[in-house]
Amino acid sequence: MLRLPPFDFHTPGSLAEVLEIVAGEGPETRVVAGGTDLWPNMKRRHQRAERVVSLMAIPELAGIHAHNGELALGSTTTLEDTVRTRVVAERFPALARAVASISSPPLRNMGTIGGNICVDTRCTYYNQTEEWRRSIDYCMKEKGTICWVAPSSPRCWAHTASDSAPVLCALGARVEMKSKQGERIIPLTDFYRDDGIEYLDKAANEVVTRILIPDESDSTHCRSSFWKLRRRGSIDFAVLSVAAAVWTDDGDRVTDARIYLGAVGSRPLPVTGLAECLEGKVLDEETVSEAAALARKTATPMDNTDFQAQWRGVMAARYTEAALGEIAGLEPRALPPPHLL
Amino acid sequence: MPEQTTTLELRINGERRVVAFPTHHTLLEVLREECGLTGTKHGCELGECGTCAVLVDGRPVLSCLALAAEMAGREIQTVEGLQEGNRLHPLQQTFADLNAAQCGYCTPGVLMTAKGLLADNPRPSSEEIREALSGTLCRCTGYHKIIQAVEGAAALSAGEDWTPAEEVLHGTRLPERGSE
Amino acid sequence: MLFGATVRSPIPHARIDTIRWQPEKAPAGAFCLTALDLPGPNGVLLLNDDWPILADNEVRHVGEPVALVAAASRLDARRALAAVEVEYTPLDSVLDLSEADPENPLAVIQLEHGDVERALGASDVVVEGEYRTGHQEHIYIECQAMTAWYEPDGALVVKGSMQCPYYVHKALVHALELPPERVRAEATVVGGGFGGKEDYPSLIALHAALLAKATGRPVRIAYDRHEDIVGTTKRHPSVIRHVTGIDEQGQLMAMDVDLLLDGGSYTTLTPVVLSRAALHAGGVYRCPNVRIRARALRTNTATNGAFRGFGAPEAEFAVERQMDRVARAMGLDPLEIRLRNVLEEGDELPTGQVLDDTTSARLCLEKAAALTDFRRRWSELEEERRQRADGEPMRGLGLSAFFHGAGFTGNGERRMRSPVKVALREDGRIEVFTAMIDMGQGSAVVFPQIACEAGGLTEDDLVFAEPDTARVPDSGPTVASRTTMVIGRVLAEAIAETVELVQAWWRGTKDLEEDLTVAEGAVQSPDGSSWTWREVAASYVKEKGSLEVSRRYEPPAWQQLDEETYQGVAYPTYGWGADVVEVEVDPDTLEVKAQKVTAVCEVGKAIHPTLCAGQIEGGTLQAVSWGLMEEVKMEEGRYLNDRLATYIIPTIGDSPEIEVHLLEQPYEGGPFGAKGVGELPMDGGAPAALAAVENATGIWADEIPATPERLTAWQEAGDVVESIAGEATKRSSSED
Repeated sequence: MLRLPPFDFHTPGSLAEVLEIVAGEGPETRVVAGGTDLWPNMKRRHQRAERVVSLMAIPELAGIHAHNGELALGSTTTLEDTVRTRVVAERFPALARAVASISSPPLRNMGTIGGNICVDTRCTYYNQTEEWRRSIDYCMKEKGTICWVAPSSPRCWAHTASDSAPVLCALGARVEMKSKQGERIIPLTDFYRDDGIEYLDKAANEVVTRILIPDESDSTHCRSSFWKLRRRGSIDFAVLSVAAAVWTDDGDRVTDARIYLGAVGSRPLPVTGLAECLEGKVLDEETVSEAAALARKTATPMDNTDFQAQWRGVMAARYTEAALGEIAGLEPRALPPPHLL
Repeated sequence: MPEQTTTLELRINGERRVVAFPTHHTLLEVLREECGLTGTKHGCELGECGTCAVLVDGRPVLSCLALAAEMAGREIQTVEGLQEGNRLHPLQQTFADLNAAQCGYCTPGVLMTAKGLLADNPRPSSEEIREALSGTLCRCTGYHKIIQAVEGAAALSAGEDWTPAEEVLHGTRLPERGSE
Repeated sequence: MLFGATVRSPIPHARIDTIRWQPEKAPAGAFCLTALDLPGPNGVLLLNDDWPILADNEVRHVGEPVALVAAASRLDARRALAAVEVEYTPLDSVLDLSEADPENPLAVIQLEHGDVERALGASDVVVEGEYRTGHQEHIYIECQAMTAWYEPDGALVVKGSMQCPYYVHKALVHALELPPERVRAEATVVGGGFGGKEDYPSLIALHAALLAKATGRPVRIAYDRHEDIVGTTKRHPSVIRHVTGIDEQGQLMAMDVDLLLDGGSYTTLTPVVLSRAALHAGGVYRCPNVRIRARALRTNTATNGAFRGFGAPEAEFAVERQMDRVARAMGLDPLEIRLRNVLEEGDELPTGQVLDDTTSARLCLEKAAALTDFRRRWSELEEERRQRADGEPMRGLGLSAFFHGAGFTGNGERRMRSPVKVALREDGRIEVFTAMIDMGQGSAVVFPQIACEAGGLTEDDLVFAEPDTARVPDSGPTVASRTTMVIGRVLAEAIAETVELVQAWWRGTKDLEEDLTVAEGAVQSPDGSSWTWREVAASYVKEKGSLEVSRRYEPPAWQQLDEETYQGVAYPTYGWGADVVEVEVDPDTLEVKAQKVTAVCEVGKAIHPTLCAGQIEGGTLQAVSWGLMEEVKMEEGRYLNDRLATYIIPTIGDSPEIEVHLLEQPYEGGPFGAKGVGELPMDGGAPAALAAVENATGIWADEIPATPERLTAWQEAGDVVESIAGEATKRSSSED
């Protein structure tokens, strides 16, 4: 049995206590919510902690509330509770679909939405046992100096593994973080950095408290979709995901459009030039396939997860077509991935 | 660094017991090693196979990814608590009748996950059963008898008659040689 | 109790320069053991003992055990691993069959029946094909685990998850140089085996035992999933070339098969796997001229060993795909080419064995075809594919026909003459002693059923001893689909003999003229008197003392295989089957979803139909997923996917509907006509799945797993069915 290394564990009942603990500590203190990312990583020893502080005993961090033109998701709301909350399913169906596709049902009873947006980046050369990583002298992301995906690269190419992140980016969500110094709220697109190691704009003393989704991204204003590619319809992480959100005018002409690609870069990748490409046009087979070509250009997946990299790049176009086609109500030509069935 | 230990009153299968354990031990380890409840099995310890599922406050969770230290005040149910006295739980009954357990190793996780499903949705469709059990790997069966067993348990729980379907086999008996 | 852990090689091939144990860096009381500390020969005795218990001087694959540590807790054992420093000098490594040295094989088998060269020359059409299969990992959900201790009287006991207690016993006796009676191997309930707990438990048992011996304490070793995938045996990868000659009528004239298996680094069970592969390489087809050249080569990858089917699935994958290729070349449909050539009673196998009336290949094919309306639907889907516009959903149907030799290959059963012992207990119950274990296949249900039926008893009249070598005789391993057919038969005989002895004695004591009947646990005389079996048998023990009956398996006299020429009778009977797999393929991604499998299997007699169908369902799913999704990925000999999120097996959502049809053509050598069934379903799923992909997409798929990336690459390379007809050499036209 794989076992956790020893650590001190704290479950404070208030956020103030958590912020106090993390304020004075270095990287050897970690915050945990559902634990579905941290514990496996600690079991395989690619994340370490001498002290772990849980957020799960703080009542005000869980729950979903609408106010001030936004839907606020408390960071420790479990993934299952997120999916089951009617307002999420009705107003943000792509988010519900993305969250419902995360791992497996029992894991979704444990994992949290805040944890999912912070989930560690992944890579074939990193998500391995200690013994395996030692045999290649480790990698840049942990203990080593070389990125084995691109050995001459000065940076780490581990890829984002969050399913909710690309959707939340497309929906223009913001993230609220608190620390002893105060709070800050930034767009989720700024929360992610294009680096496999320092992939979050979040200091060690900051705790994610809420995710805020603007009303103008809900289903009365915008149509959204999420498609995820993986071998099986359950358990597996995405090797590619496409989150699309499209706003149209009364004549069905596109006024704004955003697509974020998951799992093909260190952060959710915006498809560049998309809004310009689609603006003023009606979504039809031609415009959808133009958008898909842009997605193909954006996606330059590295060979660091399941499925061949080049194939995943080709699939970025196909899945973009499928996601936009679904939004446009076009006749589906592809089989839906298993989690949509 | 001296190992931190935790002493907690755990509620397991309706019984309260005070258990002391190293704080970094998962619920899986504490159930199996401190409590001697080895009915809960494990197949990967990383949340990838569903074998170790138990119910916490009625919902299936992966005991390999939950710290026992977080279980204060929560109701834990394991496979050991499934049967009531000498009466098998309907799920146990139908799994036995259909041989939905072959080697039986994934079965405790399947049973507890299915129990969680039935509590939430007493008459699930076969698609809903597939969805609920989509995180539990079984290497022996083709999963069909598991689906049929959960459907059967739902029927039994609703007070309906249920007998394993004979036609599962589509059996064809050849004439005895020499009898023609 | 101490906990053991294993230092493993990170390098596929290297010289070991030094192994340094640094106790100062290890937790207090931790212990380390290397090859230098072994008390006897450094080899796991299976067929031979070339498999080191711990690497000595040289490592030959990633994950090879180099040293063992033991410590007071599991965490301390893990910490102690870090206190063992090993220095290696890497050597050149051979990582797959394409690099392996054909001149230094682990095993070779050649057999020829007829004159293949001449027949190929005389054939109207010659079709060539090459087929590849990859590693497959067992993924029993319960990882390998073993505990070893010494009893106060000095006897060594190991207890754990194993299919073959006597293999473990034999390995312990050999390596620890102990008298057999000083060693006990006890099997726990096994959480899945599939062959993975046939060979490997001997090694982990030795590790635990050596640590227990060295420390004087009980030692437990339990693998986590990573270690289980990295360290243990796998299914052999294969490269199989077929050259097939056909006459104008589509009759097979000649089959020339060159079969390579990747044996990995040590012998383990490879020669026997190769033997079964060679014996199944011709498939279920009648062919007067067959040459099979089978070799197992060495590579610097983990030892490959037993896995459900034992070489036959690899061989039958190749021959089934080759038959589809022949059909394309001849312009026949897949059913027609098979029906024209399928084996029937009176036909000869490449071994010269003349098939008897338990031969059901045609029956299975016809049944499967009728159930699925195969011919019409296959042709319609062919037409649909030709007419289809780009992007429309693709559906396909694929067929396979297959067989599996039941029981040990060749003369194995004759050498073993496996015994079953039964004994009357004071309470009148019969205690049954066999070394067979239940790993989910259901012998714990089927054996009592057989015993009750054979003796007229009820389950309450029986006790089954735990498979502990101190108590049970060596009735051989729980492998090779032999448990029900071979041991079940001996069990039935032993029970019948016991019941006969007891009832005859009872008749004597009661001065009864006529024979008594024993039925449903009651002993009855024609005059209407009745006693319970238990009271009668208990009286027997009280009056006469204990009664023990031992019976041994005697294979039919005609089951003799010449192990030089491979001519003779390799198996006394065969299970037969036909699968029809239906798939839907995503036109954009080429992801394949298996929708339904119709599995028709002829099993002699389904002793417990539900269990039997369960075996076929589970085996079929393993076969289909071997064909479509399971892949052990390696880079420089290191496993890239040693976990359940990356080594993919089907979830409940990936499982197709599986409709099982059981046919029965009783084999008189098995109990109540039963043939072996456990491995049979592993043989047909993969080729049928790929044939269905071919029907759906037109892509010629000759390698498994047929992942979407591979299908995309083949499609881009123009590997499509239209190219096959042109490829076939038309001997008649070129030589005219």
